[in-house]
Amino acid sequence: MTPAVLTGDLGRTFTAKPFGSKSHKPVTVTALSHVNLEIPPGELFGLLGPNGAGKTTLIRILSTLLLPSYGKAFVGGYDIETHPQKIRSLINMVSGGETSGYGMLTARESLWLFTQFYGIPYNEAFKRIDYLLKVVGLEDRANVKLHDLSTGMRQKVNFARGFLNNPSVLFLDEPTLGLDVHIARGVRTFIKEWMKEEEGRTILLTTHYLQEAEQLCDRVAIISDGKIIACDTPDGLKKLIPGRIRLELVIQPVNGRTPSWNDITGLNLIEEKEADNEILFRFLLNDEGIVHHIMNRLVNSEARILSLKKHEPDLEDVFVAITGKKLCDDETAEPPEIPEQ
Amino acid sequence: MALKEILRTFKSALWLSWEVETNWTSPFLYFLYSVIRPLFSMLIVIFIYKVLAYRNPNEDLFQFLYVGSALGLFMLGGLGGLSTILQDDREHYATLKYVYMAPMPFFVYLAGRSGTKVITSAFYMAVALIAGRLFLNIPILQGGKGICLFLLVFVLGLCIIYAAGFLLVGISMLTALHHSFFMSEAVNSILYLLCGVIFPLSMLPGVLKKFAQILPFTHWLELARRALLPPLSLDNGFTGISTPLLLLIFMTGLAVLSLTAWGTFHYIEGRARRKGLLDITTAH
Repeated sequence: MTPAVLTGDLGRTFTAKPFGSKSHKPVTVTALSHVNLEIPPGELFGLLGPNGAGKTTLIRILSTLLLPSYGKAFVGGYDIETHPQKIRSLINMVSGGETSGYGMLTARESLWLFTQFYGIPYNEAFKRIDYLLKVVGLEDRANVKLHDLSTGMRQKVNFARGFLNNPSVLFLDEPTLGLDVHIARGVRTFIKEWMKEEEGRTILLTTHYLQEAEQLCDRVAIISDGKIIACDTPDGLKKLIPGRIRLELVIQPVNGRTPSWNDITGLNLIEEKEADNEILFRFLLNDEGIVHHIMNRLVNSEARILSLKKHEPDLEDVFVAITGKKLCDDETAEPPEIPEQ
Repeated sequence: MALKEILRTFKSALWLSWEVETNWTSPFLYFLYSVIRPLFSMLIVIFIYKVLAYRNPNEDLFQFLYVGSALGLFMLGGLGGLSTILQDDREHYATLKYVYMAPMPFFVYLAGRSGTKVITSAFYMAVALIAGRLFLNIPILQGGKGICLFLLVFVLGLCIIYAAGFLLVGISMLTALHHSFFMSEAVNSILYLLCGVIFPLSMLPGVLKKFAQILPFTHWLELARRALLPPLSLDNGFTGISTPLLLLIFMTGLAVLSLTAWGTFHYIEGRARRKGLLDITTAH
């Protein structure tokens, strides 16, 4: 069976003069490095990584907007360098957090325009537009001009645009970024239903939201600094850190003394937050025996323990364990509310 | 590439261009604006002539200036409109990447997307020429003579606008927003100065005159003038060259320009894809 997406030793570098630099010597930045991926038809494949990891670069290459510096990439069996036009009839893309669009057009007109670019017959086009506007909760705003819609609403129109041509391969680049919680939930439900509707549909999803990746994706690749460092099912990835546990500890220091964790072997401090004389620590432990060392340090520092919770590791823990880095540093990367399955 | 696909792409892109260009007003007011604007442009030309030829009025020079300016509204206006559309989509509306990855012929989209600007420029020219005939008694197409030649020249004018326009659109893929506007204005200014829009080529210094004489835009303006006006007593650098020969020279130039534009556009499109410039934003 022809893979929906196949990359072989794919890489991309950019050359630029560093901002503010007096030197005329350009700097080469590696966005993607020797990426090998094979996504079979019918799979919802997730790409998880922090900002600047190379996720969007990979999608730009696969969606025929950018050529690689080396290596090969195929979508639907077609080479992105030699058959971009064949690929374009198979794909679509949604970039989350974008407010692109012709502001003078209504939501419905904007979508109609793209149905024409995709050669969708009139009657079918309007049916599909109405359906998609309903999915994103904009059926009552269909005739409002884009520049009169809020940022989130414009994103929804952009999301609907991505599904207009029923693509065989869909690239979703942070599709729920900036959407309301309930709309994001609806979008995720729609993505799952859309995948089930027709056999062979494939989605490549990039996301910051770990729970989104866990809930939606059949397989997830972890990307960091342009390299794919792990690729498996969400459960399979968690097995990469066997026996590990995540500990959340909230303490109240006494006399300003906070315990030091630096020299405890097998302890990885993921996060430290301080507010109102309380400190939250998130740890990833190689084994449960390390809890004993933590308790000793707490006793020595005389800190008051306000809470101590043990969790199963999630994909972020996997990411931290593999890369030694946090996945998200900014508040915007807080995961949205995900309903129980 | 199926004709149906080309027509559908062109039609929807033309519709988009109409919405983009006219969204600020009603169709009636847009029509009114499209009538008034060229009339005021021509009034400026008339006043400039009146001031300069105050002591020595020269009817032939006036006709040359007036008709050249009217033709310039079409040729330079259309070209200027076409050369900035890619930047509009890429930088202002941020839609170019979605348009580019749609399975349609990209250059047909660009042709349609610039359609309203080109059609409006042609309308400006028509208004200016009709006003010249009605209110200034300029013998434009007097007795219907030259109308066939003018129609042919008009169609060829569209061809040269699109050929040169695609060349500029191609180059603008590699440039930042502000460079692109600068390039468009620079090209327009050079053509305005060199192609015999407002003064005969004989007034240009030797080297510039020779350069102007090989530009297809110059040939087009001369052909259009010959179609619209009776022979003038001014030397525009093509005395002794018959209209059919001039047409042949122009068509040759147009073919060379079209091939160059086609090749350059596709080469630059590849370069832009290689450099990742199709979805960048250079203005904030």
